[in-house]
Order: sequence, then C-alpha cells, then structure tokens
Amino acid sequence: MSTFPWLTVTGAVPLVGAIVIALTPGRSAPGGPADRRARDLLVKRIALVFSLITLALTIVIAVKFKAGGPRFQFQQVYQWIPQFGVHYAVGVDGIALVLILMSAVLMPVVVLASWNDVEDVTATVAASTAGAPATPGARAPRTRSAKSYFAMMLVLETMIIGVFAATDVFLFYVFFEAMLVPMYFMIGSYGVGQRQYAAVKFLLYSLLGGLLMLVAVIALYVYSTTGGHQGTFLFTQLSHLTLSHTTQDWLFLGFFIAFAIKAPLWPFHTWLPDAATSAQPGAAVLLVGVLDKVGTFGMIRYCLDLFPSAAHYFTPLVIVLSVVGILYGAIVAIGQADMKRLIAYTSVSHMGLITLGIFAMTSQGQTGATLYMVNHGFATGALFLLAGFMVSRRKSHLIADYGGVQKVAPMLAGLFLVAGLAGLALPGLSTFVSEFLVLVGTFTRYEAAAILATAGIILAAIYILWMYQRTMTGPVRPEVAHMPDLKARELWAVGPLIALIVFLGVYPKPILDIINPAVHSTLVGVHSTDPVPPHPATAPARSASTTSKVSKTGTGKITSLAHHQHGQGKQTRRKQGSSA
Amino acid sequence: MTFFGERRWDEKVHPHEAPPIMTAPMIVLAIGSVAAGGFLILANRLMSFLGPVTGVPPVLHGIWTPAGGGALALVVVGVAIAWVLYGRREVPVTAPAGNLVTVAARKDLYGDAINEGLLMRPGQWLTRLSVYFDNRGVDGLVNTVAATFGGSSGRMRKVQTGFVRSYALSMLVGAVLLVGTFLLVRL
Repeated sequence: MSTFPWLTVTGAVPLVGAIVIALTPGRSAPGGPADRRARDLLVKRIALVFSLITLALTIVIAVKFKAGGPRFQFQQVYQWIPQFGVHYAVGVDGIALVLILMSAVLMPVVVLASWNDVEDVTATVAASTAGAPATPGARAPRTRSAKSYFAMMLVLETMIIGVFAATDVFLFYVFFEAMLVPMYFMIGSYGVGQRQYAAVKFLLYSLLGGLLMLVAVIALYVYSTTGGHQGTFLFTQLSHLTLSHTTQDWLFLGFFIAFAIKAPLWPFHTWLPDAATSAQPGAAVLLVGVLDKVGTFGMIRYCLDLFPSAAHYFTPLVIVLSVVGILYGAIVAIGQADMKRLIAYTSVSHMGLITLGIFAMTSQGQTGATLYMVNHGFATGALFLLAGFMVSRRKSHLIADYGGVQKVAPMLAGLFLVAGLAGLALPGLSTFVSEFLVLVGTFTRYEAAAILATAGIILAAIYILWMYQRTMTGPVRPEVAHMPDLKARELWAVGPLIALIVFLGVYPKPILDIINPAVHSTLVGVHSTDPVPPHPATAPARSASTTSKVSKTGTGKITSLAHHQHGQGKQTRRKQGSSA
Repeated sequence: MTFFGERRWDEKVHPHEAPPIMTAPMIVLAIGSVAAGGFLILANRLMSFLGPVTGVPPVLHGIWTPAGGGALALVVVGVAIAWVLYGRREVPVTAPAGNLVTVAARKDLYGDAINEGLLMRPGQWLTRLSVYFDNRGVDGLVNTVAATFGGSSGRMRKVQTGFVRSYALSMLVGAVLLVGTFLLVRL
C-alpha cells in the first residue's frame, strides 16, 4: 500500500490552479480589449487544464479503490491542533468516492460551459445601462473579471473534495463553511437578476445551519472527553461514543438541520430557487449538482453513524418531510414561468427522494439514494447547462419567450429532451435505476410513503414534458427563428454528461459495486437491518436473493439475509480493525 | 356515408385512388382479415399450435353452436336496422342535432370534460396556489426573520443619539441600579 497522499494531492491541484490563475496578469496589465481577451482565454485554459488533471487523479483513485476492502481507504491522519484533538484526517469510503468522482467530472464540464458567461453578463449589463441617461459622476459599468470567476471555481473544487474526503469532524466543518465563500461570490458578483439578494440569502441561510452544526460539533468533542479520555474529532472514534438518547437527539438535530438546509429539504428549501435562478448556469450546476449533495452526504455519513438511536427516532419526521418535499417541489415546479427556477424546484423534489431513500434505512434505499446523488448531479447538470445555452442565445429565462426551438436547433432540443427524460427517470437512463432502488427500498418499510413518492414521477412527467412542449415544439417564435444550434465547445461540455446518463442507465454496475459495501457499513453503523421479506424463495436452485423485487443491477444480493449476516460478521471485525 | 350516396366534394378537389405503395399492404391485410379467422379455426390449427402451453380445449362440434348462431342473428338484425334508419334515406350534409345520447356520444360521454373539471383545473389551481404559498408563505417566513432583525436593529440604532448627556444619563442609571442591587442583596 503506497503512502502517496492521493487525496491531499487531488484536493490541492485545483487550489494550485487557482493560485496560478491569480498570478496571471490581471486588469491592471497594459493592453487593449484584444489583450484582455487573450488574457481571459489563458485563464480559462488554465482552469480547464487543472480541472482535467484533477479528474485524471480522481479516476486513478477510483481505479485503485478496492470495493470489498476496508471501509475507509487512502487514509491519512496528521495532528493539527493536538490540544483539542483536531486532526487533518482524510479518507474515502464508497459513498465519498463516487461523489468526489461526480464533482471531478462536473468541473471541467462547468468550465467549458461557462467559457463566455463572464463576458455575456458584462455585455448584458452594458446593454441594459446603455440607454439610461448619464447621471453626473456615473462611471462605465465595471467589467467583471474572468480571472476571479475561474479561480473561485477551482477553489470551490478544492473545498468540495475536502468536504467529501474529511474524516475529522472539525475538518469537515471547516470545509463545509469554507465552500460557501466562493459560491457566494460566484452568485453575488457574476449572477443575473436579483443576484445580491439571492447570494446573501444563500450565505446566511447556510451559515445559520452551519452554526447549529458547530454547536453540535463542539458538544461532540466535549462528550468525547468524558471518562478522562483525550477528546477527539476523528469520525471513526466518535462513531463509537455512547451517548444518552436525549443527547443524541439534540446533537442529531444540530447536524441534521444544517444538512437539511444544505440538501435542501422542505421547508428549508427557499434559498435554492433564488440562488439557482440568479447564478450563471455553470455556477448553478455546481450549486445544485454538488453543493446540495454535501447536505445529503452529511446525513448519510454523519447523522446516521454518529447518532443511531436519534436517527431512528427522527425517521418518521424525515420521511414525512421528504414526501412533502417530493410532491411540493414537483407541484410548484409545474407552476413556474422561469426555466431555471423550474429546474431548481425539480431539484428540491429529487432531493426529497434522496433523503427518503437514506432514512428508509434499507440497503436498497440507501444505495439508491447515493446513486441518485451521482445521477442527479449529471442529469440536472445537463438540464441546467442546456437551459443556460438557450438563455445565452435568447437572453430570457421565461418559458413563454421560447417556442419551436426544435425546428431551429434540433441538436439542442434533442439533448434537452434526453436531459429532461433523465429528470423524470425514464427507464434506460441512469436516474431510473436510482429512483427505482429508492422506491423499492422505501416500499419494504413504509408503503404509504413509497406510494406517495411514486406519484412524484407523474408530476415529474408533467413539468418536464410541458416545459419541453412549450419551449421546443409548436410554431417557431420569430425571436428564436435565428437561434444557432450547439457549438462544438457546448457539445463537448454537455456531451459527456448525456453519455454518462445513458451509459449508467444501462450499466450502473461499476458505481454500484463501489457504493454497496459502503452502504452496508452505514447500515451496520446505524444498527439497522433490511426487513425480512414475507415470502422467502423456497427453491434452492435459485440465486441467493430472496426478494422478488431483484433489480437487474444485481443489488438483490444485498437484500438476501444470508449474505447480510455473513457480511455483518465480517464487517464488525473490519470496523474494529479500521479504528485501531 | 363515406362510400355510397351523392358526391359531396368541392369542384376543385379531386379525390383519387391510393398509390400502390398504400394499396398493396392493405390488400394483404384485407386477405388476412377475411381468411385468417377461418384459417386458424379450421383443422384445429391454432388449438394444436398453442396446445403445449394451454392444454387442449374440449372438442367443439363445428362452428354452428347455439351461441354462435345467436350472435350471427344479432348481426343480421343490426344490419337491417341500420339499413332501415340510414341506408334508405339521403344522409344530410350537416349532422343533425341528435338526442341527448347522440350528443353525449359525440363528446366522448363527457370523459374529457370530467377530466378537465375534476383533475386538470383543480391541478392548475393547486399549482398556482402552491407557487403563491411558496413565494409568500415559506419564503415569507424566511424574509420575515430577516426583516425582523433588520427592522429591530434599525430601531435600536436610534438609542445612539450622539449626545454626551444621554450617555451620561444612562451611566448614572446603570450605576444607581448596580448600587441598589448590592444594597438589596446585602439586606
């Protein structure tokens, strides 16, 4: 086992890229507009190269990851603040690894898609103020700096990798809060519309949750010092703490509210539509595709393992909120007139499904939820990017301003349809596998919740297909009659996402192989087992699966009791080994 | 109405026979729809073909069973009624008003209307209501919290008058309170 610090290096590469970008000549450098464009092009190329290097490193980590091996791999632990037991501790399990993979894939895509975003906004601002009467002392509108935008994107990537890779709760908290800062600037400075309101709302809302989590983190540390032990923030040691039920409940709430705001879970969702609408499409993809997953990742990693009894106690509440979120998000999405706001509300609905899968406390549900996190990042990311391409051509967010685009830009319309169908979880596309797993996993425990959640699929069909019908089909509006089709750069940006959506829909096994053991460990940590099916198979010649709801991806193996008990025995020994 | 009776088309329109690419498949299908039934039933072809799966049904004595004969008689009666009602007279160019049943049949037995009234319009109202509720209600709560803090800080700011006399007065009041508290506690 080599001791090369893979995770630290992978996390540091984007930061190095941001520093390199910061060192390139900026606005004060001499030269006219042509030189400025050349400098901006250099910045964008550096950003693309560094994000591709990060992607390559992440793929190497994923290939070297042993799916059936110890729970946390690529671990590194260094003392950071010894007096408080704070360590710089990183390590990935299956869930963290697939989320880091997804973020690493999304970043070059976002860099490519945001190539012209900064110039577009500057042009829009200039155009909108061109007709206004000159007030005395007014200056020309400030041109926004592409340098800062792309540098912040890379810093955000470092923070994201840090959040997913941290195994020290304090380090996790640091990254959790730090990732808000670049996002705030990306929305507030480079966005459109009510961007300052949206950015401040996003920042304050997330900070509020973060402060509640800080209280819980400090309390965890204090409880870890009881009995005369040296207090610690290491996750693997904190998960062995025994706390009283009341303590667990309060601490769980502290963590959970922070993650519920981040996820977002209804009713803490109102920051998302404003932030996603005001942000540039690339920033919106990062916001919805990656930052939201930090919330659900926190739920499945920290809330469940650290506070098992509290997780069971609050499960009914979370299930209710999730189902409400699914239906509410879908219904409100149907009524939106703004394209990006509609997609943001669909995100609220899908995240409700993810939390439902997590708190159903079955291996299928949690596997489905984790897979959904990955698939949703790609599907909603593609949808946002394509909507962004349309907006950059027509300069309007409103659905009513489009019509008949498929006759004018068939490639754009076709990819938009595929991304939309992925949003409604069409079988054959990746999101179907995850949605199916979540619904099956929930149905084995909470039939009513699963039935109501399935109704969300019908609502999803309404909002996606109606939006497609209004924007793409029908008579061509004169304003969109000259809309150019996708350029090569845009195709390179959104093509990989569509390809992944289709590929993972047919062959999700590589991802599922990584996720399944990690979900298994999580279920053991939360002291939960899969429900016994009422009619186990009697024929011995059949495979080990005992439920009739075996999905084609082979996850039925996990639900077999025999495998589970055998795995449980192995897992206990593995857990003791990893915490030594 | 379509194939018999007087011509009803405009002078400029010329309905013509379909081209062979349409008629040839239709001829094949027509032969099939006439002959397939007999072909499958006679000599027990379909039954012996499906035999391994469904098992062999009890042997029928020919096609002319009481039930079959009754069905055929009904067909003949229906044809007769249709000829009496419609076949003998000229079919009017505009559709007659018809009685309640006819009108209901033309409107899909009001299936669309029920759908729209029961599901579609309430769905639209629910959607608009939810959007309003989300923008004003849920978001309103968030903005209310923000406005409360902003508003109260704006009001509390006015305590800072900038006059030294107000600060001196508040120091005096504070000192009096402190001394009074000490005295009370002593007692």
